[in-house]
Amino acid sequence: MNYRVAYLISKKLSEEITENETQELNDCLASDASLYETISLLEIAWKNNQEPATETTERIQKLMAQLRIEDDSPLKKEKTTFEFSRYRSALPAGAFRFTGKWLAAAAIALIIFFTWRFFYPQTVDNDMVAQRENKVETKAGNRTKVVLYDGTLVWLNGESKLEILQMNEGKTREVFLLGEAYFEVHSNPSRPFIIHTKNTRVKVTGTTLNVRDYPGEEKAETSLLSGQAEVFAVANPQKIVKLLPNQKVVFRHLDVQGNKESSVMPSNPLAEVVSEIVPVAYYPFDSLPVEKAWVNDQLTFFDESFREVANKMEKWYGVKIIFENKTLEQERLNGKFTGESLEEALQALQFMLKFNYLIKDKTIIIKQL
Amino acid sequence: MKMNDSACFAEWQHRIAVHEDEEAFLHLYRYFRHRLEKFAFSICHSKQDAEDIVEDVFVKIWAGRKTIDQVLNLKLYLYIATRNFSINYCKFNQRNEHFDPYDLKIELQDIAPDPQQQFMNAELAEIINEVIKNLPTNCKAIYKLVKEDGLKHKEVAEILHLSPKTVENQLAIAVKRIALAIGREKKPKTKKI
Repeated sequence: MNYRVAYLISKKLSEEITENETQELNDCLASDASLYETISLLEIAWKNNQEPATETTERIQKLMAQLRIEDDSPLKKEKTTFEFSRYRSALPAGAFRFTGKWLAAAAIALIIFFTWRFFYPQTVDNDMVAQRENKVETKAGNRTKVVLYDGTLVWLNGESKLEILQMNEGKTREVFLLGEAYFEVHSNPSRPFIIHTKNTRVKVTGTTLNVRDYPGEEKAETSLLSGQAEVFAVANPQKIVKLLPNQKVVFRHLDVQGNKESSVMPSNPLAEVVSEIVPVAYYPFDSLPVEKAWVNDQLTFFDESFREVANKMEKWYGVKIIFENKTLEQERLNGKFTGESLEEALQALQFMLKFNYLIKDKTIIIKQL
Repeated sequence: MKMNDSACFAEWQHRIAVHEDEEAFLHLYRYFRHRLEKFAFSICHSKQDAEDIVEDVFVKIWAGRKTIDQVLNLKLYLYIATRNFSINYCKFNQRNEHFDPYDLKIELQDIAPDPQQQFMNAELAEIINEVIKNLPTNCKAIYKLVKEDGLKHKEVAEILHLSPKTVENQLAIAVKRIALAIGREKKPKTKKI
């Protein structure tokens, strides 16, 4: 059989043969009668399709349950809208600290907004996924949203892990979080919702809050946006911090000299820890709490050291950032990124601070100018 | 899939969009679930993931039920949604926005011999199944989507990110191979005395 005949037959079988082609095929048949049998067999094979298996009611019920969760979601899905404005504005001088000679203008803070571009092809689809197994994990650079069985919504930031310890039965709902997550806890006063992190415990009943406790970072924090929360550090369980809305508690590790600057939360959670309550910072232009910005795909930092900003960028972009110059690490920065690529973000930071950077694969080296 | 199928879909779409008719929605689910799962499976190689993916697709359909009657080609829409969810969902495809058709793991239905053994006897069915199993991956994918799933050439082209010409070409190759195998079988066998 030559290719042309096979082509015509395949078009006939898929019911997409044109009139001219039908004519051509008929001419072929006229000159080679054996084709009739071949075509018949091919047609029989082609039409030989099994019916799909019938549905189990179990599957249908599972699907219907997912639909209910979807419908009952207390939060209408927010379509992320991206700002196309580009402007700078000033913060009151007391809200931040800049050091010395790198500063361009002493009393003015630059908050720079950039236009959106799809900067990272791996951002997870914006749709909610219903909780399936007991664990959700993200890699650096990915974020995800989950609905838990009790109706609680969780947005998980990059390089994070959420594990369900107890949800369906029992007097409490308990999860374990590694990394950062924003929770909208479904209100149930008779069943408190408890979040365990490496260094802290948070207890709420019906609340929106952001919890951040990454391994290898110097602080663990919980920001309460609405409702009530009780938080304590594992190292210091007697000191229960009761948060009111718009309060944030930051736990830091105290090294032997009582020096707050020591770098990393110890791997042994039972070390000396101090806590500090600060107000949740809001951007004055939209009523967006700084901690929640990542939920809307914005990377923000508000009076944070370059090292802290770099930590956020590492999880956001899935890279490693090393500082060649220790002083650069301590510089304080304010900023908000909405969709910048890694390079654009670094260049934006260079507006605020003088430094150079070198990109090698997935590692960025920050150097002196 | 038969010619009157698109009429069915239009009716279901209308009922779902205007009346939030769950029964119509379930008809849709029952109709497509199995085939879409096979398609999802071919991309992510996991039956469990495939089930979850198709479920997510339908949850999304329900979430957008108010405008579902504005979708002109529902079948194509479902396949493309399944493709996209599969790519997002499955672990080892995270690096690419498009999957490589060579990565697909396609499970085809075997041709069954017909009961009267009149035309399609067991040996013939066996031969045809063998040929199909040995088709190159992209050819197999196209063959499956057209033959088993009843998609048009243009639709397959869009789903697999290929040109319609490629789709037609691959189908011709599949048919040619099957025909040649049948032809060999049909050659009169010399009797040994």
